[in-house]
Amino acid sequence: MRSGLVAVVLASRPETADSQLLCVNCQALLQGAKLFPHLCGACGFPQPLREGENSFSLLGVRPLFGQDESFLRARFYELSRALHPDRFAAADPRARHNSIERMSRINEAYRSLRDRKLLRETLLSLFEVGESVTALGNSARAQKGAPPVELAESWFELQDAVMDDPNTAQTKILEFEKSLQFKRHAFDILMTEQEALFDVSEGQDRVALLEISRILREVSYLDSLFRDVLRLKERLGGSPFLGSG
Amino acid sequence: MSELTIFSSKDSRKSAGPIVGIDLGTTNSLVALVQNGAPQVLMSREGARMIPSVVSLADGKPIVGGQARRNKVRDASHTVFSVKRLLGRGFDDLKGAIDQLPYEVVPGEGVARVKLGDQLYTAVEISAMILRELKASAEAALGEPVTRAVITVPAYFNDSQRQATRAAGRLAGLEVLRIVNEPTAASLAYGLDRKKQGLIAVYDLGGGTFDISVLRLEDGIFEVLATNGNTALGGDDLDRIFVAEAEREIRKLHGEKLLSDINLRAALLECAEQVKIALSTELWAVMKVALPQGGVYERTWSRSEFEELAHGLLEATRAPCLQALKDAGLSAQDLSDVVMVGGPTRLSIVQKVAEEIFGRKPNTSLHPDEVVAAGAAIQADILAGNTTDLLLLDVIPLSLGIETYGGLMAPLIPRNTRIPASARDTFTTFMDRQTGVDIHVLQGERDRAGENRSLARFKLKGIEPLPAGMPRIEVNFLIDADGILQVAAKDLRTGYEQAIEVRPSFGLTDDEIDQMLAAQAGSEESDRAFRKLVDARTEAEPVLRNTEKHLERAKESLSIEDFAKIEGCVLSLRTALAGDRPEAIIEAKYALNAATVRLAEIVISDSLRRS
Ligand SMILES: Nc1ncnc2c1ncn2[C@@H]1O[C@H](COP(=O)(O)OP(=O)(O)OP(=O)(O)O)[C@@H](O)[C@H]1O
Ligand SMILES: [Mg+2]
Repeated sequence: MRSGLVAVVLASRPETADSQLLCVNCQALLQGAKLFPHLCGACGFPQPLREGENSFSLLGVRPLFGQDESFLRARFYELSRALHPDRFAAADPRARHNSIERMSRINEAYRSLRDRKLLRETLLSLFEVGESVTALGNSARAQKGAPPVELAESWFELQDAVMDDPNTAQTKILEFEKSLQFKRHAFDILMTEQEALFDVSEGQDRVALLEISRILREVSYLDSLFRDVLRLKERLGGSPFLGSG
Repeated sequence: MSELTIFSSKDSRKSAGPIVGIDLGTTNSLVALVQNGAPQVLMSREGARMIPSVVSLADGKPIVGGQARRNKVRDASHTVFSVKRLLGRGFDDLKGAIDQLPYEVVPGEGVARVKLGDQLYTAVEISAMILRELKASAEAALGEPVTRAVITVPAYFNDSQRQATRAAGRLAGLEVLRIVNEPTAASLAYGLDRKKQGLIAVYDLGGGTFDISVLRLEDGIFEVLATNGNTALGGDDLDRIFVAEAEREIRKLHGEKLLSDINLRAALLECAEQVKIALSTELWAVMKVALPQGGVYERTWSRSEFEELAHGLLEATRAPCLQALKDAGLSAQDLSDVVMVGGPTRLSIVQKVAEEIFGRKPNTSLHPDEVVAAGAAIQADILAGNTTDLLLLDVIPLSLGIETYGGLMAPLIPRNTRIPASARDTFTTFMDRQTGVDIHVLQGERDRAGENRSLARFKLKGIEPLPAGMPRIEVNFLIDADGILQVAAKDLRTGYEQAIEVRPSFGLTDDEIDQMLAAQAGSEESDRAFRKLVDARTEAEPVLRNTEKHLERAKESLSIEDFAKIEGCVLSLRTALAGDRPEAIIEAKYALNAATVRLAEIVISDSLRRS
């Protein structure tokens, strides 16, 4: 099963365009410029965003989970100095447009690579692992995938148990919560492990990505259970057995 | 980076005149410009560094600044102030905020209007009058036309309030090149010399607004990490502590009716502010106000009594500070400085509250009234291409999103996102064969759509009729460095696309502004002439009054010729004052001045002898 998935994922590996790029303004060769691919080394014109540029390539870092925060910041400041629209306040509209477009993408990239959760999402969507088109407008929420059977079952059992015997409800809920916390912790460790595997393989171990995507789905179900338990506790809050804890 | 000049066409910018920085404050406004590498505040036409943000009517025409301010009590029903509190807000939005104002606020189509004499004006129009005065002051100080500006707003202003500020600028004949956040502007002035680096918080308590911003300063980069605030908390609210107490006592002694007197309310407010300011240096102060039916209201305040009441109000600054720190991912100990900005930060109680919140003594070394304007001037200089070693990286203060099914807000760009910013998300339909979707653009932090600010609504039509959940509609947000939002929606299957630039829901459309500008073009000349007339009158009247006051008494000491000459000049000045020719008034005033040299000598030696 594992190898079958590898094939699927490898097929959707992003293309890296290695052809020669020319400045849209003066046609000079862009490769080799200090701020490649953002600015033309010859005329300083900010280049339009091109197909295949992503959060990692924009900041010139490798698409891995381990990112060095102070390096990212130094890089981000360097790019901002050169590319911010304030630097093109009086430039021609095309240059301004490119600068706004490029800078807004760089801002987004900087934000997503510094936050562990966003970094994960960014990497997964870069390698097209997991469903990224989800939010629903004027409409209902998307299904977050099927919940892990085992957890779902014990949640239903808990609800039944609480209804059947309110006297032991508090203990049962606490137990359930503890098991959730334990699972959550285990997932964190698993995730860190898989991230390390991916990084050590220099981004070759796509199975690790699939594993992470799977864990994330379970974690998100786990988090929704945490919220449900909280609600359950609130609902029973007035009963003499539970107090208000 | 000399290549960049190919695009920055710096020269054409220079020839278009200076770009000034403007702090359009609730109570005071300033205009500044970077000259010889340093920001300088430009003097007002009345010779002051600050122009009170007050508009009053003199002979049916609006006047702005110090003169208008003096009318606040003298002619309360013809004077408006603190209109920044109304800017970009709908009438419903203002409930609670307006019953404390001694002028009338009237509901209008979407926008609230204030009554000045028998005319109604929007807050945008009043703000434009203030901006026009600042523009004229800058032109007088610089000796050249000023047509472009950077204007500051509270960081926590929402999109409508920003757009309204921009509209006011346009209405005043200014191209607004950038709207900058006030605390961020202050940080530019603070970090100008590059010696100050690291993580700082700017605590900005002004006349009507509170802002907190957390920034990282590093090698000329000013990176805003988070911002928060309260657009309805400021020095004005501290004044109300005294007013509330006075009202209670006056009500007890004289009944409710007296308190509806508009002049009394204005006098109470004015006196309250004076008491507050006095308490920033004194340990006690007396509030004393004459009552309309005779008698006075008098009350002595000790500083500690005031501080106790003020403390409660100022506690409201704590939550925004903590939220900003949290959003920045920092704790108070990480900060290397807490910078105080705004008039009320001169009060020791404000400094104390800031110290309690941040656990360190705040830095009060900046000029609290002027740093914001100075920072605006620096940002203007950056946009002019003159300052190239500084750069401001600012954020949006409030989340932007769209309404989804069930009346929820789906944020697309969270608050404190660096600008320029873009975001896209894909949405779908809820019903089978649905062919159109409403895109409702929202701003705010609440989950329920209705509790956020509605920025715009538009309809994307022509969606292929498919089962619910099948269509893919991509919504794109783009915010430029100005904070102006553009929204585009696209049906990914049909390629049908629709884009809008978000316009204020409260305020003026571009067309309305253009109409006003056209109407104003003719009146500008007459406004200027009128202003000259008012200035001439204001200068001449005291001269006349003084002369008349002393003439009778000094009669015996004057020669007959001197006396007759003075009488003649008094008469011609009176005639000139009754007319509408400023030149005639100025001339007559000079003549009287010249004729009264001897009289002045007598009066002075007389008073010396008596003292
Ligand atoms: N010495 C002082 N002690 C106490 N308060 C003062 C002092 N001097 C000025 N103030 C108060 O400061 C306020 C005005 O401050 P400031 O000029 O910073 O506000 P603003 O820029 O006009 O308003 P905002 O920034 O909210 O739009 C007024 O409420 C005024 O009474
Ligand atoms: Mg201010």
